[in-house]
Amino acid sequence: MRPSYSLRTVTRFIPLTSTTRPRREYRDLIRYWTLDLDVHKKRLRELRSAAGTENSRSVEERWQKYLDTAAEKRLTSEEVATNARRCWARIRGIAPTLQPPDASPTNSKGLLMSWDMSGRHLEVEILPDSSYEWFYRERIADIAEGGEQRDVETISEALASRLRHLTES
Amino acid sequence: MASPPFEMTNGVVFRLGVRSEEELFFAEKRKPLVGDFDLGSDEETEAAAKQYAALSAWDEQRTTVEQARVFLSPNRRLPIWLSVLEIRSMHSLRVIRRPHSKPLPGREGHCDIENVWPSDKATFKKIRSDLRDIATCNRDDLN
Repeated sequence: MRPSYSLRTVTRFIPLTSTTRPRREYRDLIRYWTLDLDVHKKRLRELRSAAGTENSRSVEERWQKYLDTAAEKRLTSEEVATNARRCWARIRGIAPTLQPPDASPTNSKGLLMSWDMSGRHLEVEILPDSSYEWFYRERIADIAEGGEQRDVETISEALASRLRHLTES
Repeated sequence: MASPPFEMTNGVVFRLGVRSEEELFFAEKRKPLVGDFDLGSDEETEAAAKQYAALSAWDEQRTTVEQARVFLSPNRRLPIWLSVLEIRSMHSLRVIRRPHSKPLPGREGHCDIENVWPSDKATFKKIRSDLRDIATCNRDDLN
């Protein structure tokens, strides 16, 4: 038969440290006993890691689907969507931990990809003529830098440097 | 009769982005994007010629989000909120309350965020990015 103590009573009487163990009859009242914490922590890490991987995969899948259907939805042209995909592949090669961008079509039927992290903003606008413009901004530090490239697979050293900076913690 | 233009110095305005949410891609959650502060293509051409452009917004004290949406189509757009004080602290931006020309409920709250294109496209990009930086999708963030 279980003792008639509330969990609050038990935890008040018995500090939960690794050097103290409550008597056997109290243990049922404590769902996660301290000696088991390492197991729980390990499991929690595994679950978080799996969730993170799953989340990254699903963001990437959603992003690819957005590009796949952008022309069909008349948001942009097939060529711009293809160029955005190629540009993203190059960017990912330089900054492997960067997640897919937020994106919106532009008035000229281009595609504006952007990343915002800890006060740092980077945007890459894929233009209909297969070129692109990029712009980096840190408002608080008043840093602004940008450039343009004729080919979506060419990443300048300045942009590569900003990409790496963006993913630094 | 519509009120004359009035320069706002405080309060909160909201903007309905240029595009509907279905057209946008959010990697994580819905949030203000630089694209929400885009000019229309004609506006951009005009801005480059005149070196002047303004973005529409709405005074939350005089127009509800639903009222503002009626002025625009398609009307499924994400409202994003900005503090007038913060807008005014950047560059030379001003918020002028100027009633909308369409005689619909809520027209009194229409505002222009002025001077977003002071010289060239590069400066516009900087201002657009800064506006995005101070904007929020959650009105409570500005309390």
